[in-house]
Amino acid sequence: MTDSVLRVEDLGVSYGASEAVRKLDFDIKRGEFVAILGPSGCGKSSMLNVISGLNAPSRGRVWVEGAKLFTAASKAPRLGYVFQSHRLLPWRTVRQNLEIALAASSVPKAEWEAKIDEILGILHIRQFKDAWPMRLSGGQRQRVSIARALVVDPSYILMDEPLSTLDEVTARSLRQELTGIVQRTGVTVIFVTHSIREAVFLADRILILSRGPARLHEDFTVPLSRPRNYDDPRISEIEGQIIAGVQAPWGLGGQRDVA
Amino acid sequence: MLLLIPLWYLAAAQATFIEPPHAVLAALPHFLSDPATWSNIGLTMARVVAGLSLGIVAGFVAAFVMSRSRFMGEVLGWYVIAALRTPSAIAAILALAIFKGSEAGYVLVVAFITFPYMAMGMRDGLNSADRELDEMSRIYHLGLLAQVRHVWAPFVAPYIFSALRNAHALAWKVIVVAEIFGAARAGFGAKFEHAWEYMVMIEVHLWLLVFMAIVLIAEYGLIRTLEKYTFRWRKEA
Ligand SMILES: Nc1ncnc2c1ncn2[C@@H]1O[C@H](COP(=O)(O)OP(=O)(O)OP(=O)(O)O)[C@@H](O)[C@H]1O
Ligand SMILES: [Mg+2]
Repeated sequence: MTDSVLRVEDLGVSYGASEAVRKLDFDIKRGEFVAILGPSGCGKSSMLNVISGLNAPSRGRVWVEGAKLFTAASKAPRLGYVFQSHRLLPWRTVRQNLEIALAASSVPKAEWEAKIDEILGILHIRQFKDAWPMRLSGGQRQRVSIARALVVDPSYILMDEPLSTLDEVTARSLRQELTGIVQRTGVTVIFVTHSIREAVFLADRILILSRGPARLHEDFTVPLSRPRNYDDPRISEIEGQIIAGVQAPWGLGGQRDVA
Repeated sequence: MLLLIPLWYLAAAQATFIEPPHAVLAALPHFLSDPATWSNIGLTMARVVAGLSLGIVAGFVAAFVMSRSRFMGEVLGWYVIAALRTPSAIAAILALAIFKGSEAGYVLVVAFITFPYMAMGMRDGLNSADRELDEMSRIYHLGLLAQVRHVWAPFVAPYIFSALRNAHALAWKVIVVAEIFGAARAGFGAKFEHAWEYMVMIEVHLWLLVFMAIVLIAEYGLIRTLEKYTFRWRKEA
């Protein structure tokens, strides 16, 4: 056994004649924080739909903790997912939203209460345990969404631009906290973003994809120790390197905004 | 509401068939303490509740089948439209002719008139189901039961409530029509018709008043309260 949590080999995704993902190979280890960067429409969501177990790929193989996905006998992986929008059930309280996810996972009922308290505590939202999601702020809702992803003891958590709908102040504090949460829980995270700076700040490793159909352009290890500071000039430096490196493959005309 | 009282006086002074409010009010205690009043109202209410329940269940089944299969959707869609467009008086006469004034006839008239409202409302709800929440349910492995309970049912609830309000109002109207046409021996419609035929105008007024009160209580006391409770999670609540 390796400590590989997710392994993808020769992954291809097509919709009819149009190809969204051409050929992806990567391996993600337990506890790693991996960011995925790619130009808009290159096939990131298509890839996430495969590694979340939602859609079978057109080609290639996927293993989660050594077990092959999309075979007749395979079970869908246990994972957390933080979407761009919170996707909480608005008619259930914070606690109920977490309980519904727990009930569908194999965590024994006797452990729920303690688990929920612990996770809500880590995210500083324990006082909202019995609140309705619609009465919370956008940042608080996204915290609940992260709590739901953590509470099920996932093999890994997928995050698809989870901070992109928040205002910058809220996004900053949640981004900062996310690094602490990941360290405390040791959870494996796959984080899709359009912000190169965010990727450099958060990730141990960045998978840089090509323009669509997606291939792996570069597997980039972030050469920074933790804790990191979002305003660290070294982050800007690395950001600049990455931008310079993707000019050609992303077909950028020199502009910085990759989103 | 209170504004209606002067209007009522005015009308009573003009028209021969309208009694002044104080005369009606004076007769009210006796009317309300008569057990026969309540047994008649109870009977009509039982018909409405039975018919409406049947209509709701039939509507749900129809909506579910329509949302599952295109073909059945087309076929049932026609039935629903036809039922929706049938004037309630005609439905009442037909059902009573078929069931010859038996209890089933009254219940079925109400069910037939209310079911298309429930079917349409629920179908619209199911059709607009939230793709994002469905995806979330699949990611977190919610079973079918959990999905129905936590995702679909709350999602279609607003559609169901607005359909239910229509269906409920219609149920009371059609049952009275049916009781009158069906020459029922008991029930609100029968008593109302009887009083009208014998020109006991005070009693006509009393029946009308009590009827309106009951419909309003059912709507505001029951349906709206239930609605408020169901939607307590909403932001404005
Ligand atoms: N269900 C689908 N059917 C057909 N084509 C699709 C479907 N989903 C995505 N595509 C196409 O596949 C390509 C990749 O889309 P995808 O959503 O995976 O990109 P993305 O990298 O997530 O984009 P963004 O950064 O804008 O979120 C696009 O050209 C898109 O139009
Ligand atoms: Mg996307």
